[in-house]
Amino acid sequence: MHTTVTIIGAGQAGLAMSRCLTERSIDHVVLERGEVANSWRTERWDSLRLLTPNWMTRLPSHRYEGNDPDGYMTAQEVIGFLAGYGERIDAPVRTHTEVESVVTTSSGFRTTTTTGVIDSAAVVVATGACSTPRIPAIAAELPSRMHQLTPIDYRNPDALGNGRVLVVGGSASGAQIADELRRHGRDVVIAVGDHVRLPRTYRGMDIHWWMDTVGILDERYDEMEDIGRARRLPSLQLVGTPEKRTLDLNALHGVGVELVGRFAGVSGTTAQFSGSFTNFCAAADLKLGRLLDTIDEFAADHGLDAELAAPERPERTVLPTAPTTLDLGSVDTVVWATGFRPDYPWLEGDLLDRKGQIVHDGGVMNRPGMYVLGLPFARRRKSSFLDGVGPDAQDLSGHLAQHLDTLATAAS
Amino acid sequence: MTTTTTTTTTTSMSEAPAAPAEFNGVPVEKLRGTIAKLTDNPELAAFQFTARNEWIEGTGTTSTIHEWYGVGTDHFHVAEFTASADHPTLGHGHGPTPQEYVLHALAACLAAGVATTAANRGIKLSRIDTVARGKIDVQGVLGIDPDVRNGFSSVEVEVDIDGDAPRDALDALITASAKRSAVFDMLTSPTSVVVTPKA
Repeated sequence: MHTTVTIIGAGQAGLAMSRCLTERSIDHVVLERGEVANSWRTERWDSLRLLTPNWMTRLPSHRYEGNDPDGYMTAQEVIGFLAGYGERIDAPVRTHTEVESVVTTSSGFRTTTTTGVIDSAAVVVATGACSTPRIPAIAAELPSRMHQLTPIDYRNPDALGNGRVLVVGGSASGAQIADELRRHGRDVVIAVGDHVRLPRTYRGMDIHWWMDTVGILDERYDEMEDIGRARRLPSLQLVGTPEKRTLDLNALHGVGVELVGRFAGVSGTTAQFSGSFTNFCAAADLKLGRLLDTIDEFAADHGLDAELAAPERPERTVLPTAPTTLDLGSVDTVVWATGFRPDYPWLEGDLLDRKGQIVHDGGVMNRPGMYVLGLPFARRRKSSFLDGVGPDAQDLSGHLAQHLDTLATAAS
Repeated sequence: MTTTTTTTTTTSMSEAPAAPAEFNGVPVEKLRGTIAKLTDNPELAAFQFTARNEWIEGTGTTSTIHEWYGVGTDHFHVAEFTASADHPTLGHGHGPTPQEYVLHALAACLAAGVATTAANRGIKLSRIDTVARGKIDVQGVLGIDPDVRNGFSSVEVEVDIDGDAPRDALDALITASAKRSAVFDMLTSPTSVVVTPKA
């Protein structure tokens, strides 16, 4: 089959790009290994909700129109929203089509899939940032009787054994899972290293409203002094609940989750945790303070103070002495909430860096005609968020259109 | 808060900088150049440090530190540095205890990190005073109680900084330094240590 552009992935990124290409009358196909919004169907736990308020679900020509704009959609609702989007924009999606390879040819690219071959002038990789969990090597040293899983496998507390659970990682997934397990009566320990602490609301407004309004989410990749560091920032310690509660280490401690430092090693049947815990907490508290200072400055500069609650600062992370060891005999489940890193065995090696990640400049890959969407801070701080794929798709579809024009000119 | 790119200027009225640009005494451009070079050639980032220790008497010894390996080749320090250690009550006064060298190492590593991070962020510092304290129950090392560990039960470090920046920015230098400190890492996370007789 021939088309102009092959889009790989029919999640929010692939669909957004499809809409942008349709608006530019550029022929394309969207390949999806499962059904539209596949990851949302198969790789999310039962109670999961978006971290971002519903009004922040804005895709090209389609936004949230429900009656709870300040609430947080469930995974099921996201599936419905994206499936509806796909239909509304008439996205040319080929479902149950898995990509086996993408190869550069003399006329563009050949994508080989489980349902056939597609030749195109351009390719957009929209497979998401969370396909492969990153599990540290120490997992292999844990006793084989232990049940080990990642947020991708986790569904609900009842699916786990009754014993103590060690959640490794204090970013959004780890914090949310530890919180849920604890509220269901489990004995939970969470091992935390670097993390980003945020209140759910500040001065009466959702923290995402602030980040959006102040312009933080639109910060560009080429404006950052250390983009590598910005891209590696842990995901925000937030949860989306109707009560709009804050989910930080103080909150976890408050419901009885035991806090320990980064999981550093296994010695016999003892788990070892780093003594760096208080330093990471101090760092997170300082970073939070800087963000709130930025917000207060913005509010003052824009005359918003009269309409808002007064500025305040959350309590420092209050810590009991964090133990550095734990007898693994008491633990029967380990949840590795230690992050994800996408894998690209189907891409040519020279497109990837020495860690197997796509080399790109703001989403423009190292091969004319190839683009990637949806990676953390790829073009903007919000590039991997639901609300970020739209602007990135607009930018990159423009770049793609120019590339096609160049090809046409060269050919004539 | 964005930091400015560092173009260092001396505060004196001299016409041209005589030496490579330094901020807080840290050669920032040279550091950045090294980082860039090692990013492109990670095999050059494999370093090895060595301390050669010789017994004097009793609990007293002296280490000599001269050679080191890094950036693909062998080097020597500008001098053959020495450091002696001994026990305060059971020794002959050759030096402080090894445990105190660890506190020195930690303080030195953290302070160097503060100076470097500040230089990178364009923050001028005038003073960094670091006090490192380690608590130890010596029933461990004396073999009196097997449930007591040999090493420090806890270490506390207090860093006092004077510089050209708000208090929060100065405090952030400390957490940033600890995040990237070699000695802090060694003390807070397990490290493989193999001790053998010479072959």
